[in-house]
Amino acid sequence: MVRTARLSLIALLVVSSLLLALPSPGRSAEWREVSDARLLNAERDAGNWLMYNRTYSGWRFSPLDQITGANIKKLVPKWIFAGGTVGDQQMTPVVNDGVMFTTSTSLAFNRVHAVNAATGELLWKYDRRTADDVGALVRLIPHNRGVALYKDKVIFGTLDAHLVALDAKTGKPAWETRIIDYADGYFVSQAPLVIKGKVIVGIAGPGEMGPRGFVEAFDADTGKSQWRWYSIPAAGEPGSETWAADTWKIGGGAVWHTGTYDPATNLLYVGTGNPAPWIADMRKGDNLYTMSAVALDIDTGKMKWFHQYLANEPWDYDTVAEHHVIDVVRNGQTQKAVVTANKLGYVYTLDRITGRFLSAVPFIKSLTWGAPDPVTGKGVEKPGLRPTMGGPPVEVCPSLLGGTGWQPKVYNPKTGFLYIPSNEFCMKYGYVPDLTYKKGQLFTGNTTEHFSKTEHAGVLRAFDVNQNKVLWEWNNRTPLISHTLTTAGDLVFQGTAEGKVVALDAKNGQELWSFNLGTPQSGGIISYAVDGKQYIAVAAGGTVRSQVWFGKEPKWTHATKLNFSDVVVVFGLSE
Amino acid sequence: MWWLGVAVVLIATTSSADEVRRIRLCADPSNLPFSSRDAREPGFEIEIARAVAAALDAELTVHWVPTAREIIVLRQLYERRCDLVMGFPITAGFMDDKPRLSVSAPYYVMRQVVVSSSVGGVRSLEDLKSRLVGVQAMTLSDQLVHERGYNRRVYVTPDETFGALLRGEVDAVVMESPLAGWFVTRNAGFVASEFGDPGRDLEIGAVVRKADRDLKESVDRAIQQLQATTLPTILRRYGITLAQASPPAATLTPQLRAARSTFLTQCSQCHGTDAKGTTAAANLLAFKGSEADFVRIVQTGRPGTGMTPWKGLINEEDIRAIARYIKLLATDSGRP
Repeated sequence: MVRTARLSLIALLVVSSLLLALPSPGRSAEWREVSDARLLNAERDAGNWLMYNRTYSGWRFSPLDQITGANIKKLVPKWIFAGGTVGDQQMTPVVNDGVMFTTSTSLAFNRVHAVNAATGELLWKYDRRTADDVGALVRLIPHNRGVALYKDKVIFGTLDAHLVALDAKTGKPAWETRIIDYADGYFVSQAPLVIKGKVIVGIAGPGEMGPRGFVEAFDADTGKSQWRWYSIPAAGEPGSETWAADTWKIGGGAVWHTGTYDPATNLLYVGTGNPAPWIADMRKGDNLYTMSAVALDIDTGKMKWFHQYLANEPWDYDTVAEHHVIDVVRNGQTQKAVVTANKLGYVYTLDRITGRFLSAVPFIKSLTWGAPDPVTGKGVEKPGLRPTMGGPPVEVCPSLLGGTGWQPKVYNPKTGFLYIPSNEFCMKYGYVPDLTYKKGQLFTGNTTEHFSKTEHAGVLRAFDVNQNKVLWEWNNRTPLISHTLTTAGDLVFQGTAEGKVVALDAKNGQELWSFNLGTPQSGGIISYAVDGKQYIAVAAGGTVRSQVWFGKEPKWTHATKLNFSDVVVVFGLSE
Repeated sequence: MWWLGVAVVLIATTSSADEVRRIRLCADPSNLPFSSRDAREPGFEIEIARAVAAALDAELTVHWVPTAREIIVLRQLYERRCDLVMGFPITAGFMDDKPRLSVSAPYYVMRQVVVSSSVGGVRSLEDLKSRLVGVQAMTLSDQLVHERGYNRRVYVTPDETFGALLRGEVDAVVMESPLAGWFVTRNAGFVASEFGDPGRDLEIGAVVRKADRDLKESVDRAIQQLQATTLPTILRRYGITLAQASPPAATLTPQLRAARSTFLTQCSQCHGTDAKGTTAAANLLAFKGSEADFVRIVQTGRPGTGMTPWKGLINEEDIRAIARYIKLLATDSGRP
């Protein structure tokens, strides 16, 4: 029977997993447990980067200030670590007391490394083989965005929809949980987030392969499931009336990006993705709770509130981008808010206690799909921009990569700026003449060509969250599908698809420093300290898929000629 | 045999070795615009067969045989006096009772068109209602005019039919496009108009013995290569400007329609809706391998490139159908 077969397959996978434990030079003695308290207070743990976005607030702000505009000319590479894969490096490293954890991923395996964060020396490496019948999207973009740390464990999700915990000191497997059947078109790409002893994982795949998206909480010590919240209500549940017939069963709504959390509200904030298929007429209705901000009670998984950005979404404009937990000051009033800049091209501010819509301000100029209603915040489409099945493509802006996509926006509390790697581009977007759901295949039904009407498609924008407007911009030829970091040294680091990483003055965007990585910048940029020395780590290697995204726009093709080689390059000040 | 009335089958010939070195074509010595022994005006099917042979770097010889009767022509193939016969419709109905033969990729599409005076003539099917229409007996044109209930007069040969138009016996002639084009180029004052009824389009290919797989694949490949410029140029020389392309999507078989859907959904993101590729992915129209090669590459992927293995997601039959759909796109590339 199916169930038995699947279980035995998993058993085989575990057995065949390749474990390479290298001698760890005394590291085990130095391991400091990543407790709930340490995660809650990660903001003050200046030398470490304990979780995907560094803090629950989602800011990616490093309080380290040793590296500044005054000494940045002395910033030089200290070590380089090669992950051994080609094609997709989208991972953000994490660092705990001198040990860095990175992932490298290919269609064949999920790989985790522990590396000495001061020297780059490999401590251990773990390869977990992937089944060869994973879904289409996994085959096209086999990627992983990093690990979570909890106590003495390193926890990550896999291309075949498992959650795996390793011993942080040795790399030996501790527990493994099958989240769901990957054959249905599920996988995990996001870095898990551990909150109050629960590993929170949102599932990837549904937006492109059809099934129902969800977020699930697992016991961080045992891997046992504690709750699962589906982004699409089942028949009969509230919200199910927004789906025609049985379309909810294959309605997408992936939750493929790591969420944020506010201990004061005890709410997890996640963005949900687009509905499936992308052909909106095939799933008539508002399609709740896709394309929404959702607040879930971390203890129960119950939805406290939601705000849908766009109903019956037709263009793949997922709204999964992180919702930064920020207290904004508007008109002299402090507002407990979540702020998100997403594919739709607007910076949205919502009340993080109630979900009430507060404001939406555009941050890009290439924006034609429509606008949020100024009172309700619900998207109002400009008519005529939805393609018809088999009809001619429509031109709509931004492209489906979004005004800004999953690439993290970063918030610097010193400047009050949200730094948004944003894009000025459009797409020719059509629907195929007919589309049938087949398990594991792409269930999108789109044809897409990306192009730009401007010389510089990539624009890093400093958005003042209090004044609610863009204050400065920094331009790049290709779209910014790479990462950003801001530090207390008044710096912003930005990577590019051309393979550069630049440092800018956080206050005015002036370019201060630049380094050629030789491969597209695509993973996380973080800062940490070991033995009192500040480092900047840059994960690079690009995304093969960018050749498709950039392939039809002559202004961008120069970036597709680089090789996609997976590396982490770590910089420090020269002695 | 409706097709024989018009189609004027040419015939060809080959060796059965791995590499195609010589093609023996069976062709009618006197059947313009299809074929002729007259070297100054050899007919478009002879010219196309020569272009195919040249593309394959093979020698072409012609075995001249009257083509008025299908069985005589096919016997030349079965008895290995020739290897290739041009001018066969690619339809299941036609090929199903010929298990020993297989048909190549189409090199043009035959249609029924209306030929009438360029002044005040007939431009659409509707215009035929009040006219007297000349047709050749027992052809698809005859059937079409008869089915629609138009007033028709029947003739035995194309020459007699067009003669009636020249004499003013009939107001218009409905005729298969190669013959109509040929007539129009040689008779000033007449034009040919399309109906725009793609459901009636008939793809025309060449037949070979089924056992000669290498020859079929080679001919298919050559037709693909020639589709963009050489074939239209030859066809135009014989006045066949209305019938050079492969059919629009509406005429796809259910299997090819499904293949198009799979291609557009699963493949076109990288390879483009036209299959011509991007900086990320190959131009599939230029794919040189066999259908088996195509299946293997789709199943196992191209390591080190963005081409991922699709085994387990798209079954072999569907991959083969995609290969055929792409072949169809390739033959469509000359279309404006």
